[in-house]
Amino acid sequence: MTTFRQFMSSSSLSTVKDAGTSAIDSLKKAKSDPSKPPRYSAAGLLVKGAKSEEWPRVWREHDLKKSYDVVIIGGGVHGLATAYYLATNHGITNVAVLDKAYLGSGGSGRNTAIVRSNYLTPEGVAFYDRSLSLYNTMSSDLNLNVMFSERGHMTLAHTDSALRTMRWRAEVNKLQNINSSVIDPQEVKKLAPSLDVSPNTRYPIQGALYHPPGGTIRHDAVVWGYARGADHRGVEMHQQTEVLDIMVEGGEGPDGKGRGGKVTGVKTNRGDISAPIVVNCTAGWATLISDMAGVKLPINTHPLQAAVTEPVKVFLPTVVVSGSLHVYVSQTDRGELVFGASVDPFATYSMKGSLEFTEELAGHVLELMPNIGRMRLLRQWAGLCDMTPDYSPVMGFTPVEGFLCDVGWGTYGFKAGPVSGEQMAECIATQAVPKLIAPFELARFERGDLVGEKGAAAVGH
Amino acid sequence: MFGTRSFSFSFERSALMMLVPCPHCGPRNNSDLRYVGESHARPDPNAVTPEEWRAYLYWEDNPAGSLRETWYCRAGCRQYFTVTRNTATNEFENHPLPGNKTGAVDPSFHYVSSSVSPSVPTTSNAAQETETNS
Repeated sequence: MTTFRQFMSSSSLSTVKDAGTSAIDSLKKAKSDPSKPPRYSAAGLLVKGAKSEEWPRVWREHDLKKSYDVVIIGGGVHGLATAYYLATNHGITNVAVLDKAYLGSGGSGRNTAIVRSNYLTPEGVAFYDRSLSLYNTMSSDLNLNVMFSERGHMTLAHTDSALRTMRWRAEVNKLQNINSSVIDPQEVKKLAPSLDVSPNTRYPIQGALYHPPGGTIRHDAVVWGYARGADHRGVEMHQQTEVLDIMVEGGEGPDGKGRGGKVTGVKTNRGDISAPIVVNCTAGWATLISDMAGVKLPINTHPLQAAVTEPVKVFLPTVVVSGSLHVYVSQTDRGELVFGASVDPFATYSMKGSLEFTEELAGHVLELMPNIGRMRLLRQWAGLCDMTPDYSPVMGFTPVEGFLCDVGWGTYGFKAGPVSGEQMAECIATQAVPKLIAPFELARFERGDLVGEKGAAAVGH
Repeated sequence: MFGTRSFSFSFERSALMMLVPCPHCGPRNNSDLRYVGESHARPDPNAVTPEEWRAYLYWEDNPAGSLRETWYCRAGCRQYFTVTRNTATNEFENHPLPGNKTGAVDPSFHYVSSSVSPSVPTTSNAAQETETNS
Protein backbone atom coordinates (compact mmCIF):
# COMPACT_ATOMS: atom_id res chain seq x y z
CA MET A 1 0.00 0.00 0.00
CA THR A 2 1.44 3.34 -1.00
CA THR A 3 1.60 6.17 1.49
CA PHE A 4 0.09 9.51 0.76
CA ARG A 5 3.58 10.97 0.30
CA GLN A 6 4.57 8.26 -2.18
CA PHE A 7 1.33 8.68 -4.01
CA MET A 8 1.82 12.44 -4.30
CA SER A 9 5.41 12.15 -5.43
CA SER A 10 4.83 9.38 -7.96
CA SER A 11 1.64 9.77 -9.89
CA SER A 12 -0.43 12.84 -9.38
CA LEU A 13 2.26 15.48 -9.30
CA SER A 14 3.72 14.31 -12.56
CA THR A 15 0.27 14.25 -14.07
CA VAL A 16 -0.36 17.77 -12.88
CA LYS A 17 3.07 18.76 -14.17
CA ASP A 18 2.31 17.30 -17.62
CA ALA A 19 -1.04 18.94 -17.72
CA GLY A 20 0.56 22.12 -16.45
CA THR A 21 3.13 22.01 -19.22
CA SER A 22 0.48 21.60 -21.86
CA ALA A 23 -1.45 24.46 -20.28
CA ILE A 24 1.68 26.60 -20.38
CA ASP A 25 2.11 25.67 -24.04
CA SER A 26 -1.43 26.73 -24.77
CA LEU A 27 -0.84 29.95 -22.83
CA LYS A 28 2.29 30.63 -24.87
CA LYS A 29 0.33 29.98 -28.03
CA ALA A 30 -2.32 32.35 -26.78
CA LYS A 31 0.31 35.01 -26.22
CA SER A 32 1.51 34.68 -29.79
CA ASP A 33 -2.09 34.97 -31.06
CA PRO A 34 -3.94 37.49 -28.88
CA SER A 35 -7.18 36.91 -30.77
CA LYS A 36 -7.40 33.40 -29.30
CA PRO A 37 -7.52 33.52 -25.50
CA PRO A 38 -6.75 30.20 -23.81
CA ARG A 39 -9.26 27.51 -22.96
CA TYR A 40 -10.22 27.23 -19.32
CA SER A 41 -9.06 24.02 -17.62
CA ALA A 42 -8.25 22.75 -14.15
CA ALA A 43 -4.57 22.53 -15.06
CA GLY A 44 -4.59 26.08 -16.38
CA LEU A 45 -6.15 27.21 -13.10
CA LEU A 46 -3.34 25.51 -11.13
CA VAL A 47 -0.62 27.07 -13.25
CA LYS A 48 -2.23 30.51 -13.07
CA GLY A 49 -2.62 30.19 -9.33
CA ALA A 50 1.00 29.15 -8.85
CA LYS A 51 2.32 32.02 -10.96
CA SER A 52 -0.18 34.60 -9.60
CA GLU A 53 -0.71 35.86 -13.13
CA GLU A 54 -3.47 38.19 -14.21
CA TRP A 55 -6.21 36.52 -16.22
CA PRO A 56 -6.76 37.94 -19.69
CA ARG A 57 -10.00 39.83 -20.25
CA VAL A 58 -12.82 37.46 -21.16
CA TRP A 59 -13.84 39.46 -24.21
CA ARG A 60 -12.23 42.37 -26.03
CA GLU A 61 -13.17 46.00 -26.57
CA HIS A 62 -13.35 47.25 -30.15
CA ASP A 63 -13.77 50.53 -32.00
CA LEU A 64 -17.08 50.70 -33.81
CA LYS A 65 -16.62 49.84 -37.49
CA LYS A 66 -18.49 51.62 -40.29
CA SER A 67 -20.30 48.51 -41.45
CA TYR A 68 -21.19 45.00 -40.35
CA ASP A 69 -22.99 42.10 -42.01
CA VAL A 70 -25.35 41.77 -39.05
CA VAL A 71 -26.10 44.19 -36.20
CA ILE A 72 -27.77 42.67 -33.13
CA ILE A 73 -29.42 45.10 -30.72
CA GLY A 74 -29.38 43.82 -27.15
CA GLY A 75 -26.46 42.09 -25.42
CA GLY A 76 -28.38 39.59 -23.32
CA VAL A 77 -28.68 35.83 -23.64
CA HIS A 78 -30.75 36.10 -26.83
CA GLY A 79 -28.52 38.58 -28.64
CA LEU A 80 -25.27 36.89 -27.64
CA ALA A 81 -26.57 33.39 -28.42
CA THR A 82 -27.68 34.59 -31.85
CA ALA A 83 -24.20 36.03 -32.47
CA TYR A 84 -22.50 32.89 -31.13
CA TYR A 85 -24.51 30.51 -33.33
CA LEU A 86 -24.14 32.81 -36.37
CA ALA A 87 -20.38 32.48 -35.98
CA THR A 88 -20.29 28.82 -34.92
CA ASN A 89 -22.93 27.19 -37.11
CA HIS A 90 -22.93 29.49 -40.12
CA GLY A 91 -19.47 31.12 -40.24
CA ILE A 92 -20.88 34.66 -40.20
CA THR A 93 -18.44 36.56 -37.97
CA ASN A 94 -18.71 40.18 -39.15
CA VAL A 95 -21.33 40.75 -36.48
CA ALA A 96 -21.78 43.52 -33.89
CA VAL A 97 -23.78 43.10 -30.68
CA LEU A 98 -24.83 46.49 -29.27
CA ASP A 99 -25.98 47.08 -25.71
CA LYS A 100 -26.76 50.43 -24.16
CA ALA A 101 -25.50 49.27 -20.75
CA TYR A 102 -23.32 46.23 -19.99
CA LEU A 103 -23.77 42.67 -21.26
CA GLY A 104 -26.51 40.84 -19.40
CA SER A 105 -27.77 44.00 -17.70
CA GLY A 106 -31.43 43.45 -18.59
CA GLY A 107 -33.62 40.39 -18.22
CA SER A 108 -30.63 38.03 -18.54
CA GLY A 109 -29.32 39.15 -15.18
CA ARG A 110 -32.68 39.69 -13.48
CA ASN A 111 -34.52 36.42 -14.03
CA THR A 112 -34.78 33.66 -11.44
CA ALA A 113 -32.62 31.27 -13.52
CA ILE A 114 -35.15 28.44 -13.78
CA VAL A 115 -35.21 26.24 -16.89
CA ARG A 116 -37.90 23.75 -17.87
CA SER A 117 -39.71 22.43 -20.95
CA ASN A 118 -43.12 21.33 -19.59
CA TYR A 119 -45.19 23.76 -21.65
CA LEU A 120 -48.76 23.48 -22.82
CA THR A 121 -48.78 23.78 -26.62
CA PRO A 122 -46.90 21.23 -28.77
CA GLU A 123 -45.10 24.17 -30.43
CA GLY A 124 -43.93 25.47 -27.08
CA VAL A 125 -42.89 22.05 -25.79
CA ALA A 126 -40.78 21.22 -28.85
CA PHE A 127 -39.12 24.62 -28.68
CA TYR A 128 -38.23 24.68 -24.99
CA ASP A 129 -37.12 21.05 -25.03
CA ARG A 130 -34.48 21.94 -27.62
CA SER A 131 -33.42 24.78 -25.34
CA LEU A 132 -33.10 22.44 -22.38
CA SER A 133 -30.93 20.03 -24.37
CA LEU A 134 -28.65 22.94 -25.34
CA TYR A 135 -28.43 23.99 -21.69
CA ASN A 136 -27.51 20.39 -20.81
CA THR A 137 -24.31 20.43 -22.87
CA MET A 138 -23.60 24.14 -22.52
CA SER A 139 -20.73 23.91 -20.03
CA SER A 140 -18.64 21.78 -22.39
CA ASP A 141 -19.79 23.62 -25.53
CA LEU A 142 -18.82 27.02 -24.14
CA ASN A 143 -15.85 25.83 -22.04
CA LEU A 144 -17.32 27.65 -19.05
CA ASN A 145 -19.07 26.16 -16.04
CA VAL A 146 -22.65 27.44 -16.19
CA MET A 147 -23.55 25.45 -13.06
CA PHE A 148 -26.60 23.75 -14.59
CA SER A 149 -28.37 21.82 -11.84
CA GLU A 150 -31.02 19.38 -13.06
CA ARG A 151 -32.83 19.28 -9.73
CA GLY A 152 -36.42 18.80 -10.84
CA HIS A 153 -39.26 21.28 -11.20
CA MET A 154 -42.58 21.03 -9.40
CA THR A 155 -45.68 23.07 -10.24
CA LEU A 156 -48.22 22.89 -7.40
CA ALA A 157 -51.96 22.69 -7.98
CA HIS A 158 -54.25 24.13 -5.32
CA THR A 159 -57.58 23.75 -7.11
CA ASP A 160 -59.37 21.11 -9.16
CA SER A 161 -59.11 23.23 -12.29
CA ALA A 162 -55.36 23.70 -11.79
CA LEU A 163 -54.97 19.94 -11.39
CA ARG A 164 -56.93 19.45 -14.61
CA THR A 165 -54.54 21.79 -16.48
CA MET A 166 -51.58 19.88 -14.99
CA ARG A 167 -52.97 16.60 -16.36
CA TRP A 168 -53.45 18.23 -19.75
CA ARG A 169 -49.89 19.55 -19.70
CA ALA A 170 -48.51 16.19 -18.57
CA GLU A 171 -50.23 14.41 -21.46
CA VAL A 172 -49.02 16.96 -24.03
CA ASN A 173 -45.50 16.59 -22.57
CA LYS A 174 -45.57 12.78 -22.66
CA LEU A 175 -46.65 12.80 -26.31
CA GLN A 176 -43.54 14.88 -27.04
CA ASN A 177 -41.36 12.50 -25.02
CA ILE A 178 -40.81 14.97 -22.18
CA ASN A 179 -40.43 13.54 -18.67
CA SER A 180 -43.42 15.07 -16.89
CA SER A 181 -46.14 13.63 -14.67
CA VAL A 182 -48.81 14.52 -12.12
CA ILE A 183 -47.98 13.51 -8.54
CA ASP A 184 -50.08 13.50 -5.37
CA PRO A 185 -49.43 15.48 -2.14
CA GLN A 186 -47.59 12.59 -0.45
CA GLU A 187 -45.07 12.45 -3.29
CA VAL A 188 -44.78 16.25 -3.11
CA LYS A 189 -43.90 15.91 0.56
CA LYS A 190 -41.24 13.31 -0.25
CA LEU A 191 -39.60 15.57 -2.85
CA ALA A 192 -39.77 18.75 -0.77
CA PRO A 193 -40.26 17.93 2.92
CA SER A 194 -40.46 21.58 3.95
CA LEU A 195 -43.75 22.11 2.08
CA ASP A 196 -46.96 22.11 4.10
CA VAL A 197 -49.19 19.56 2.32
CA SER A 198 -51.81 19.30 5.08
CA PRO A 199 -55.44 19.88 4.08
CA ASN A 200 -55.85 22.57 6.74
CA THR A 201 -54.18 25.41 4.87
CA ARG A 202 -56.03 28.16 3.06
CA TYR A 203 -55.01 26.79 -0.35
CA PRO A 204 -54.29 23.07 0.23
CA ILE A 205 -51.84 21.42 -2.14
CA GLN A 206 -53.88 18.95 -4.20
CA GLY A 207 -51.09 17.66 -6.41
CA ALA A 208 -48.29 18.82 -8.63
CA LEU A 209 -46.87 18.57 -12.12
CA TYR A 210 -43.40 17.09 -11.62
CA HIS A 211 -40.80 17.66 -14.31
CA PRO A 212 -37.44 16.05 -13.37
CA PRO A 213 -35.35 17.57 -16.24
CA GLY A 214 -36.11 21.11 -15.06
CA GLY A 215 -33.69 22.94 -12.83
CA THR A 216 -31.62 26.04 -12.31
CA ILE A 217 -28.55 27.50 -13.97
CA ARG A 218 -26.23 30.41 -13.28
CA HIS A 219 -27.63 33.07 -15.60
CA ASP A 220 -24.59 35.38 -15.57
CA ALA A 221 -22.34 32.51 -16.59
CA VAL A 222 -24.58 31.80 -19.57
CA VAL A 223 -24.20 35.42 -20.71
CA TRP A 224 -20.43 35.37 -20.14
CA GLY A 225 -20.07 31.99 -21.86
CA TYR A 226 -21.86 33.12 -25.01
CA ALA A 227 -20.02 36.45 -25.00
CA ARG A 228 -16.66 34.71 -24.65
CA GLY A 229 -17.49 32.11 -27.30
CA ALA A 230 -18.71 34.76 -29.73
CA ASP A 231 -15.64 36.92 -29.04
CA HIS A 232 -13.29 34.00 -29.76
CA ARG A 233 -14.96 33.57 -33.11
CA GLY A 234 -14.58 37.21 -34.14
CA VAL A 235 -17.90 38.75 -33.14
CA GLU A 236 -17.61 42.28 -31.70
CA MET A 237 -19.50 43.19 -28.55
CA HIS A 238 -20.05 46.91 -27.98
CA GLN A 239 -21.21 47.88 -24.50
CA GLN A 240 -22.41 51.38 -23.60
CA THR A 241 -23.56 51.72 -27.21
CA GLU A 242 -27.12 52.90 -27.44
CA VAL A 243 -29.11 52.64 -30.67
CA LEU A 244 -30.72 56.01 -31.36
CA ASP A 245 -32.40 55.23 -34.67
CA ILE A 246 -32.71 52.55 -37.32
CA MET A 247 -32.25 53.69 -40.93
CA VAL A 248 -34.89 52.31 -43.24
CA GLU A 249 -35.65 53.38 -46.82
CA GLY A 250 -38.48 52.70 -49.25
CA GLY A 251 -41.20 52.01 -46.68
CA GLU A 252 -44.74 53.33 -46.78
CA GLY A 253 -44.53 55.11 -43.42
CA PRO A 254 -42.99 58.49 -42.54
CA ASP A 255 -39.26 58.89 -43.39
CA GLY A 256 -39.45 55.80 -45.60
CA LYS A 257 -39.92 53.52 -42.61
CA GLY A 258 -42.49 50.82 -42.08
CA ARG A 259 -43.96 48.09 -44.27
CA GLY A 260 -42.10 47.44 -47.52
CA GLY A 261 -38.98 49.30 -46.39
CA LYS A 262 -35.43 48.00 -46.31
CA VAL A 263 -32.95 48.39 -43.48
CA THR A 264 -29.70 50.20 -44.29
CA GLY A 265 -28.15 50.58 -40.86
CA VAL A 266 -28.42 52.01 -37.36
CA LYS A 267 -27.49 55.31 -35.70
CA THR A 268 -25.81 54.94 -32.31
CA ASN A 269 -24.35 57.30 -29.72
CA ARG A 270 -20.90 56.21 -31.00
CA GLY A 271 -21.57 56.80 -34.68
CA ASP A 272 -23.52 55.35 -37.58
CA ILE A 273 -23.23 51.77 -38.78
CA SER A 274 -24.41 50.47 -42.13
CA ALA A 275 -25.77 46.94 -42.08
CA PRO A 276 -28.18 45.00 -44.29
CA ILE A 277 -29.56 43.02 -41.35
CA VAL A 278 -30.58 44.42 -37.95
CA VAL A 279 -31.95 42.09 -35.27
CA ASN A 280 -33.99 43.33 -32.31
CA CYS A 281 -33.08 41.08 -29.37
CA THR A 282 -34.16 43.45 -26.62
CA ALA A 283 -36.61 42.91 -23.79
CA GLY A 284 -38.52 45.71 -22.13
CA TRP A 285 -37.49 48.22 -24.77
CA ALA A 286 -38.52 46.01 -27.72
CA THR A 287 -41.36 48.31 -28.73
CA LEU A 288 -39.15 51.40 -28.67
CA ILE A 289 -36.55 49.71 -30.92
CA SER A 290 -39.18 48.38 -33.34
CA ASP A 291 -40.81 51.80 -33.51
CA MET A 292 -37.48 53.10 -34.85
CA ALA A 293 -37.92 50.81 -37.86
CA GLY A 294 -41.65 51.54 -38.17
CA VAL A 295 -42.70 48.03 -37.10
CA LYS A 296 -45.67 47.76 -34.77
CA LEU A 297 -45.64 45.08 -32.07
CA PRO A 298 -48.44 43.50 -29.99
CA ILE A 299 -46.52 44.07 -26.76
CA ASN A 300 -47.13 45.67 -23.38
CA THR A 301 -44.21 46.13 -21.01
CA HIS A 302 -44.76 45.02 -17.42
CA PRO A 303 -42.19 44.79 -14.63
CA LEU A 304 -41.71 41.54 -12.74
CA GLN A 305 -40.31 41.67 -9.23
CA ALA A 306 -38.11 39.09 -7.55
CA ALA A 307 -36.34 38.79 -4.22
CA VAL A 308 -33.64 36.75 -2.50
CA THR A 309 -33.13 35.74 1.15
CA GLU A 310 -30.04 35.30 3.29
CA PRO A 311 -28.18 32.00 2.67
CA VAL A 312 -29.11 29.00 4.81
CA LYS A 313 -28.36 25.29 4.81
CA VAL A 314 -29.76 23.44 1.79
CA PHE A 315 -33.29 22.22 2.56
CA LEU A 316 -35.20 22.69 -0.71
CA PRO A 317 -33.99 20.15 -3.28
CA THR A 318 -36.36 21.06 -6.15
CA VAL A 319 -37.76 24.14 -7.82
CA VAL A 320 -41.24 24.80 -6.41
CA VAL A 321 -43.81 26.84 -8.33
CA SER A 322 -47.30 27.77 -7.24
CA GLY A 323 -49.47 29.44 -9.82
CA SER A 324 -52.37 30.16 -7.52
CA LEU A 325 -50.12 31.68 -4.85
CA HIS A 326 -48.17 33.65 -7.46
CA VAL A 327 -44.74 32.52 -6.38
CA TYR A 328 -41.82 30.37 -7.45
CA VAL A 329 -39.00 29.35 -5.14
CA SER A 330 -35.63 27.73 -5.65
CA GLN A 331 -32.54 27.49 -3.49
CA THR A 332 -29.24 28.55 -5.02
CA ASP A 333 -25.95 26.73 -4.55
CA ARG A 334 -25.03 29.37 -1.98
CA GLY A 335 -28.18 28.52 -0.01
CA GLU A 336 -30.17 31.65 -0.76
CA LEU A 337 -33.85 31.24 -1.56
CA VAL A 338 -34.77 33.01 -4.80
CA PHE A 339 -38.40 34.10 -5.10
CA GLY A 340 -40.16 35.27 -8.22
CA ALA A 341 -43.70 36.49 -8.61
CA SER A 342 -46.12 37.43 -11.36
CA VAL A 343 -45.78 40.53 -13.50
CA ASP A 344 -47.10 43.74 -11.98
CA PRO A 345 -50.72 44.26 -13.00
CA PHE A 346 -50.29 47.35 -15.17
CA ALA A 347 -47.95 48.36 -17.98
CA THR A 348 -44.99 50.52 -16.98
CA TYR A 349 -41.28 50.97 -17.73
CA SER A 350 -40.53 51.80 -14.10
CA MET A 351 -38.46 49.16 -12.30
CA LYS A 352 -39.10 50.38 -8.78
CA GLY A 353 -39.73 47.75 -6.15
CA SER A 354 -42.44 48.02 -3.54
CA LEU A 355 -43.10 46.97 0.03
CA GLU A 356 -46.52 45.71 -1.05
CA PHE A 357 -44.77 43.14 -3.23
CA THR A 358 -42.49 41.78 -0.49
CA GLU A 359 -45.35 41.67 1.97
CA GLU A 360 -47.54 39.58 -0.32
CA LEU A 361 -44.65 37.42 -1.47
CA ALA A 362 -43.68 36.61 2.11
CA GLY A 363 -47.29 35.81 2.96
CA HIS A 364 -47.60 33.37 0.06
CA VAL A 365 -44.24 31.72 0.74
CA LEU A 366 -45.18 31.20 4.38
CA GLU A 367 -48.41 29.54 3.32
CA LEU A 368 -46.27 27.00 1.46
CA MET A 369 -43.39 26.75 3.93
CA PRO A 370 -44.42 27.93 7.42
CA ASN A 371 -41.07 26.89 8.90
CA ILE A 372 -39.02 29.66 7.27
CA GLY A 373 -40.80 32.47 9.06
CA ARG A 374 -37.63 33.84 10.61
CA MET A 375 -35.64 34.09 7.39
CA ARG A 376 -34.70 37.57 6.24
CA LEU A 377 -34.86 39.00 2.73
CA LEU A 378 -31.54 40.31 1.43
CA ARG A 379 -32.73 42.32 -1.55
CA GLN A 380 -35.39 42.69 -4.19
CA TRP A 381 -35.28 43.86 -7.79
CA ALA A 382 -37.41 44.08 -10.93
CA GLY A 383 -36.95 43.34 -14.62
CA LEU A 384 -39.06 44.28 -17.61
CA CYS A 385 -41.18 41.66 -19.38
CA ASP A 386 -42.69 42.11 -22.83
CA MET A 387 -46.13 40.57 -22.64
CA THR A 388 -47.84 39.47 -25.87
CA PRO A 389 -51.59 38.70 -26.09
CA ASP A 390 -50.97 34.93 -26.37
CA TYR A 391 -47.93 34.72 -24.02
CA SER A 392 -45.79 33.40 -26.90
CA PRO A 393 -42.82 35.27 -28.39
CA VAL A 394 -42.49 37.18 -31.65
CA MET A 395 -39.64 35.76 -33.76
CA GLY A 396 -38.38 36.04 -37.31
CA PHE A 397 -39.05 38.43 -40.16
CA THR A 398 -41.04 41.64 -40.01
CA PRO A 399 -42.70 43.73 -42.75
CA VAL A 400 -39.39 45.68 -43.02
CA GLU A 401 -36.80 43.79 -45.06
CA GLY A 402 -33.65 43.08 -43.09
CA PHE A 403 -35.23 43.89 -39.72
CA LEU A 404 -35.75 40.78 -37.61
CA CYS A 405 -37.32 40.41 -34.20
CA ASP A 406 -36.66 38.08 -31.29
CA VAL A 407 -38.89 39.77 -28.73
CA GLY A 408 -42.05 39.42 -26.68
CA TRP A 409 -40.66 36.75 -24.40
CA GLY A 410 -42.77 37.72 -21.44
CA THR A 411 -41.60 35.71 -18.48
CA TYR A 412 -39.98 32.86 -20.46
CA GLY A 413 -37.03 34.62 -22.10
CA PHE A 414 -34.12 33.13 -20.22
CA LYS A 415 -35.28 29.53 -20.60
CA ALA A 416 -35.44 29.98 -24.35
CA GLY A 417 -32.15 31.85 -24.83
CA PRO A 418 -30.00 29.12 -26.43
CA VAL A 419 -32.61 27.73 -28.82
CA SER A 420 -33.84 31.13 -29.96
CA GLY A 421 -30.25 32.15 -30.64
CA GLU A 422 -29.70 28.99 -32.65
CA GLN A 423 -32.94 29.37 -34.61
CA MET A 424 -32.53 33.11 -35.19
CA ALA A 425 -29.00 32.48 -36.49
CA GLU A 426 -30.38 29.91 -38.92
CA CYS A 427 -33.13 32.34 -39.91
CA ILE A 428 -30.57 35.09 -40.63
CA ALA A 429 -28.09 32.83 -42.42
CA THR A 430 -30.57 30.97 -44.64
CA GLN A 431 -33.10 33.81 -44.99
CA ALA A 432 -35.82 31.24 -44.36
CA VAL A 433 -37.90 30.69 -41.23
CA PRO A 434 -36.85 27.46 -39.42
CA LYS A 435 -39.69 25.07 -38.63
CA LEU A 436 -39.25 25.38 -34.86
CA ILE A 437 -39.98 29.13 -34.80
CA ALA A 438 -42.47 29.31 -37.69
CA PRO A 439 -45.47 29.36 -35.29
CA PHE A 440 -44.10 32.47 -33.56
CA GLU A 441 -43.87 34.84 -36.54
CA LEU A 442 -45.24 38.38 -36.23
CA ALA A 443 -47.78 37.85 -39.01
CA ARG A 444 -49.78 35.46 -36.81
CA PHE A 445 -51.46 38.48 -35.25
CA GLU A 446 -52.65 39.63 -38.69
CA ARG A 447 -53.99 36.15 -39.42
CA GLY A 448 -55.47 35.68 -35.95
CA ASP A 449 -53.50 32.43 -35.61
CA LEU A 450 -52.29 32.73 -32.01
CA VAL A 451 -50.26 30.21 -29.97
CA GLY A 452 -51.96 30.33 -26.56
CA GLU A 453 -49.34 29.61 -23.92
CA LYS A 454 -50.97 31.31 -20.94
CA GLY A 455 -51.94 27.99 -19.35
CA ALA A 456 -48.27 27.10 -18.93
CA ALA A 457 -47.20 30.39 -17.42
CA ALA A 458 -45.33 29.71 -14.21
CA VAL A 459 -47.83 31.78 -12.28
CA GLY A 460 -51.17 33.23 -13.30
CA HIS A 461 -50.56 36.62 -14.87
CA MET B 1 -66.39 44.98 -23.55
CA PHE B 2 -63.54 47.39 -22.91
CA GLY B 3 -60.31 45.48 -22.52
CA THR B 4 -58.21 43.51 -24.93
CA ARG B 5 -56.61 41.59 -22.10
CA SER B 6 -57.98 39.94 -19.03
CA PHE B 7 -56.26 40.37 -15.68
CA SER B 8 -59.24 39.03 -13.81
CA PHE B 9 -57.48 36.05 -12.26
CA SER B 10 -59.12 35.40 -8.93
CA PHE B 11 -56.01 35.76 -6.75
CA GLU B 12 -54.86 38.85 -8.61
CA ARG B 13 -52.95 41.28 -6.43
CA SER B 14 -51.16 44.46 -7.19
CA ALA B 15 -47.46 44.50 -6.62
CA LEU B 16 -46.40 48.06 -7.42
CA MET B 17 -47.76 50.70 -5.10
CA MET B 18 -49.47 53.54 -6.93
CA LEU B 19 -52.48 55.79 -6.37
CA VAL B 20 -54.86 56.00 -9.30
CA PRO B 21 -57.07 59.10 -9.65
CA CYS B 22 -60.60 57.78 -9.97
CA PRO B 23 -62.84 60.65 -11.11
CA HIS B 24 -65.62 59.45 -8.79
CA CYS B 25 -63.83 58.05 -5.74
CA GLY B 26 -60.68 60.17 -5.68
CA PRO B 27 -57.18 58.72 -5.37
CA ARG B 28 -57.34 54.96 -4.71
CA ASN B 29 -54.63 52.38 -4.30
CA ASN B 30 -54.15 50.61 -7.61
CA SER B 31 -55.07 47.27 -6.02
CA ASP B 32 -58.63 48.64 -5.76
CA LEU B 33 -58.73 48.94 -9.54
CA ARG B 34 -58.18 46.69 -12.52
CA TYR B 35 -55.90 47.83 -15.31
CA VAL B 36 -57.82 47.39 -18.55
CA GLY B 37 -55.12 48.52 -20.93
CA GLU B 38 -54.35 51.07 -23.57
CA SER B 39 -57.33 53.10 -24.63
CA HIS B 40 -57.99 52.57 -28.33
CA ALA B 41 -61.12 53.61 -30.22
CA ARG B 42 -63.16 50.50 -30.94
CA PRO B 43 -64.12 50.10 -34.60
CA ASP B 44 -67.76 49.45 -35.52
CA PRO B 45 -68.16 45.65 -35.18
CA ASN B 46 -70.70 45.60 -38.02
CA ALA B 47 -68.53 47.41 -40.54
CA VAL B 48 -65.05 46.21 -39.64
CA THR B 49 -62.93 43.67 -41.55
CA PRO B 50 -61.32 40.79 -39.62
CA GLU B 51 -57.88 42.37 -40.18
CA GLU B 52 -58.99 45.70 -38.73
CA TRP B 53 -60.59 43.96 -35.76
CA ARG B 54 -57.38 42.02 -35.06
CA ALA B 55 -55.39 45.23 -35.34
CA TYR B 56 -57.71 46.74 -32.71
CA LEU B 57 -57.33 43.67 -30.50
CA TYR B 58 -53.59 43.10 -30.70
CA TRP B 59 -51.43 46.07 -31.73
CA GLU B 60 -50.20 48.21 -28.84
CA ASP B 61 -48.44 51.59 -28.71
CA ASN B 62 -46.59 50.75 -25.48
CA PRO B 63 -44.76 54.12 -25.24
CA ALA B 64 -42.20 54.96 -22.56
CA GLY B 65 -44.03 58.19 -21.82
CA SER B 66 -47.57 59.49 -22.05
CA LEU B 67 -50.18 56.77 -22.40
CA ARG B 68 -53.96 57.08 -22.47
CA GLU B 69 -55.27 54.09 -20.64
CA THR B 70 -58.47 52.67 -19.16
CA TRP B 71 -58.95 51.54 -15.57
CA TYR B 72 -61.88 49.81 -13.92
CA CYS B 73 -62.65 50.91 -10.35
CA ARG B 74 -63.70 47.46 -9.19
CA ALA B 75 -63.68 48.05 -5.43
CA GLY B 76 -65.18 51.53 -5.55
CA CYS B 77 -67.63 53.04 -8.02
CA ARG B 78 -67.32 50.15 -10.51
CA GLN B 79 -66.96 52.57 -13.38
CA TYR B 80 -64.52 52.54 -16.28
CA PHE B 81 -62.51 55.72 -16.81
CA THR B 82 -59.65 56.90 -18.97
CA VAL B 83 -56.63 58.83 -17.74
CA THR B 84 -53.19 59.76 -19.05
CA ARG B 85 -50.15 58.38 -17.24
CA ASN B 86 -46.45 58.62 -17.90
CA THR B 87 -45.33 54.97 -18.09
CA ALA B 88 -41.72 55.87 -17.30
CA THR B 89 -42.47 57.68 -14.04
CA ASN B 90 -46.02 56.47 -13.21
CA GLU B 91 -47.10 60.10 -12.69
CA PHE B 92 -50.66 60.78 -13.81
CA GLU B 93 -50.76 63.82 -16.04
CA ASN B 94 -53.78 66.03 -15.85
CA HIS B 95 -56.58 64.08 -14.31
CA PRO B 96 -60.03 64.76 -12.96
CA LEU B 97 -60.91 64.29 -9.30
CA PRO B 98 -64.29 64.60 -7.57
CA GLY B 99 -65.26 68.27 -7.39
CA ASN B 100 -62.58 69.19 -9.91
CA LYS B 101 -64.14 68.84 -13.34
CA THR B 102 -61.42 70.83 -15.08
CA GLY B 103 -58.89 68.08 -14.61
CA ALA B 104 -56.26 70.40 -13.17
CA VAL B 105 -53.49 68.71 -11.20
CA ASP B 106 -53.41 69.49 -7.52
CA PRO B 107 -49.71 70.39 -6.98
CA SER B 108 -49.88 69.50 -3.30
CA PHE B 109 -50.73 65.89 -4.06
CA HIS B 110 -48.08 63.39 -5.18
CA TYR B 111 -49.27 60.11 -6.55
CA VAL B 112 -45.85 58.48 -6.59
CA SER B 113 -42.49 59.56 -5.29
CA SER B 114 -40.41 61.37 -7.90
CA SER B 115 -37.41 59.03 -8.01
CA VAL B 116 -37.22 57.46 -11.44
CA SER B 117 -35.05 54.77 -12.93
CA PRO B 118 -32.37 56.82 -14.75
CA SER B 119 -31.97 54.40 -17.64
CA VAL B 120 -35.53 54.74 -18.84
CA PRO B 121 -35.90 56.98 -21.89
CA THR B 122 -38.83 59.35 -21.89
CA THR B 123 -40.74 60.67 -24.83
CA SER B 124 -42.35 64.04 -25.19
CA ASN B 125 -45.47 64.75 -23.30
CA ALA B 126 -47.61 65.87 -26.17
CA ALA B 127 -50.96 64.50 -25.10
CA GLN B 128 -52.39 66.68 -22.37
CA GLU B 129 -55.93 65.55 -22.62
CA THR B 130 -58.23 64.03 -20.11
CA GLU B 131 -61.41 62.20 -20.67
CA THR B 132 -63.80 60.33 -18.50
CA ASN B 133 -66.36 57.83 -19.57
CA SER B 134 -68.26 55.10 -17.96
